Amino acid sequence: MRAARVVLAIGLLISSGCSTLGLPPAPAPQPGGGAPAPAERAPVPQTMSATTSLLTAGRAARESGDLDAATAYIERALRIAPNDPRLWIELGEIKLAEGDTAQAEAMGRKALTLTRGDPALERAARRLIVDTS
Amino acid sequence: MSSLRRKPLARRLAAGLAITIFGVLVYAAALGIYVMLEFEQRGWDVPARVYAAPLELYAGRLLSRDDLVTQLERLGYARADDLASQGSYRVAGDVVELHSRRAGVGDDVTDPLRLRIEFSAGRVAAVSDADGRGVAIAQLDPLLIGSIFPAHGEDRLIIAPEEIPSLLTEALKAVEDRRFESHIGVDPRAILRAAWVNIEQGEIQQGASTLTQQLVRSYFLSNEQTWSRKLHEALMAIALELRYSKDALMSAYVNEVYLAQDGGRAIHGFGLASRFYFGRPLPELELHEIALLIAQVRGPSYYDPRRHPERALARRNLVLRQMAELELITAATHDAARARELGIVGNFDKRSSYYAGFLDLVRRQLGRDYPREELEAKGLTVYSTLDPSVQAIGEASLLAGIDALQPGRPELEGAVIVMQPASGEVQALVGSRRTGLDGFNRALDARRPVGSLIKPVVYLAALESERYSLANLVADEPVTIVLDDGRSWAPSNFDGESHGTVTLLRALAESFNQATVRLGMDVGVEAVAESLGRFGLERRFAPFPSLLLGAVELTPYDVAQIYATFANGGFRIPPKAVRRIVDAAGVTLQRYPLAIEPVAAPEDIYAVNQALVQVMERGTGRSARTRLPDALRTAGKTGTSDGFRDAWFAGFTNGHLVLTWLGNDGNAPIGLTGAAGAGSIWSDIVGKLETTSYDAPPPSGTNLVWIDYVTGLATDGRCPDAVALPIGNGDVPPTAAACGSDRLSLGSKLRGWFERALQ
Repeated sequence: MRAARVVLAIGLLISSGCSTLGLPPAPAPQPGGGAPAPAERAPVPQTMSATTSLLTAGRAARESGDLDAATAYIERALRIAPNDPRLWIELGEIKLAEGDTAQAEAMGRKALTLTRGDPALERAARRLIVDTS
Repeated sequence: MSSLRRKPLARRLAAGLAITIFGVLVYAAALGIYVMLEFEQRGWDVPARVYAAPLELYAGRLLSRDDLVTQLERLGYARADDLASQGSYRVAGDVVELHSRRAGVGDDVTDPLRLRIEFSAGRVAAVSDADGRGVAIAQLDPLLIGSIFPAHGEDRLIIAPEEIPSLLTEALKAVEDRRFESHIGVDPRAILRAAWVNIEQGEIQQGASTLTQQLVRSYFLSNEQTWSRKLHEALMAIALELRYSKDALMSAYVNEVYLAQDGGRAIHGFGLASRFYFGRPLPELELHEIALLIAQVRGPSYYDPRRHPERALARRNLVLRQMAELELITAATHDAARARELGIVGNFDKRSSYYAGFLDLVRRQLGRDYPREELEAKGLTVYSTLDPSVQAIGEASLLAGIDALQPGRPELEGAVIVMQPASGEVQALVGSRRTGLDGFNRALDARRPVGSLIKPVVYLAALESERYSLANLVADEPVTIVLDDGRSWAPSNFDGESHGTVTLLRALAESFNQATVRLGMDVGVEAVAESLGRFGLERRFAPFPSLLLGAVELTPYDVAQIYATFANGGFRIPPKAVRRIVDAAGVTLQRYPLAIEPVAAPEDIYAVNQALVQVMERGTGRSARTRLPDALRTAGKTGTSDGFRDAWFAGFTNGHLVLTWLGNDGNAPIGLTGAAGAGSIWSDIVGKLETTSYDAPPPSGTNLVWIDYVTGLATDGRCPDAVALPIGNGDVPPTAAACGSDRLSLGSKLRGWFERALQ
């Protein structure tokens, strides 16, 4: 637990590339042609390795029982990628582990607004809602 | 018998002497106990230090090389090709390499890092460590932004004894107190020498105070030059010397001595003075910089290097000479240091480095959980959410905007809040055009009518009634409401015109008052007040019809909270300015975890947000929109209060909510609309932020239909006026035969164009 916190404090993660969840799915098809395209200023952001590393570290911390460290990793990732549903789902899992079912459900509902129709992510998000009701 | 005759007198004298000595001893002992008690207590009096959020570096981050360099400069990093010391960096082409600083306290520290950051097209392309291995994400040491110092205005940054450069202590002794190691708190030889000089000059001119006496004076006494004060001071200094080691007294001195004044804030101690004058930690200072700080001991006002650079330089060089005389430094080192400029950071840096408005918010958030004495004395470390770059952008844009708009108007004031909607973190807060000064914090405390900023809540309430979608039509026609007191209220539109039958979408985007009042009255003012009440504002709203047009007084902070909830898809997050609090030993005392609360159906919020995008594309936010890059999609809303007294603009991108307000403290009309006044500042800020388009996906299961903006009919997505809106399956309107706007006459198109141009 102490070691995990020290790693967190060091604030440096070597790319691990051992993520269990892949990239978020492509956007769901929009009606009609020319969907209201959210254009970026520059090409696709390559922030995934940072987000994925933090997600991996957060999940590992949760599984080892260090929920404070897990929360810190996931919140840090959310500041980078607030629309990544995986992070809201993982934060919900942490809340569940803490026994905070209300927050777990809220995180599940938030994740559901971001899944873009991906069935696996929707199932994971709904589980947080069902688990707590 | 002469001795007999004399004896009573001698006895009386002896008794008198004994009583006097006893009295003096009792007095001295009492004084000594008082001094020790005070010293022990004050020895622990360390204001909480507040840090900004650390800069995160990772591949893909929107950050240019020059912006990183600016941030490093703000952190006081020095350009050095060898990267040998902490807090240094070098630049070569598109690559920045740096050696970060150790950060944190006690057991909660981050080690220094050697990083190589490569840039490409305004983004971080890669981050690697000294061995060339890829680094997924790294944090720099956070910027110290202030401390929670007591009301009497003393601010200091405590330096641990082992962090005090020995050059500093040696130089202090050389210049201020050469016999510090051997005297007993007072230095009779120095006193005699000074007395001689003073008698010769006929006034008290030369001080003979030891460092211990100076310490006593700073701790306990006023600065007036009287003999009784000097006696007290000497007695107290001796008392301190009896109780404490020379090392303890030296560290106390280094942390106690008054070295500068910054408005109402007194800068005490070399730790904070180092930050104040050089923007760097004390251990990183060079010889000429240490000498300048020592020069301040004799008179921070008289030797102020910003106001009196020549005096300060002369005094600094005197310090250097005395160091050379005592052979603390070589002649060559002396000459090199003497040739250096003062090297203080500029006035602008100093002003912008005191984030008065944001620290006020930090103090309030901490004040809910910690008593003031703990914050002012226990040496806590507070990790805040401030993003210094965003803060600098907010301050600069507000000041430039006010400067441009001020001529011919009553004194303008303003406020800016920038938040990250998904985390609720306040990244920047400006509470006044006088950014560096404490005072009335308009961002938190100015309650002003919000005007049309309220409208998204009216339309949300309409959607929540389940009787409307944004594709439905409403009459934008004159309307008269009879109020409870019998008076009637007949609001008009901004342009004085009525626009006939319009979609809810267009009525919100173009901020039509008559349509909004008709809609709100149909939905019910109570329902609107109830919807507003869910946004977490700590008050109830009376359901008067005027609420529909924003005759409700809210602070910029309240408004930011409402719009952050919209930006976050209907999930309310209480704004926060503090992430974590750590005690002096490095133990985390408290975290402020992310907590969210769903306050509205995500589909309804998504729909309103699409209308807020149209505000920027076609409606009242269009003028602000034209100053942003074409590809940057934003959502926002203008607000103008009655008589042009308040100009508001609230809007968001993917990662940032930005709120701007302009007004006059005396509530005089400023003659600016939300779009023209606050909107120009808003777009200036958004254009400079490292931010991406608002692109929240439709919530899972949402049925999106292309709707014509003007007619509300279902249409083809390729039509120029098509907007994708969530529509319930049973409510899909009939499909238009052709693109809606083709059927508009040229005249009404022109009218629409004028309406938009005028707003």
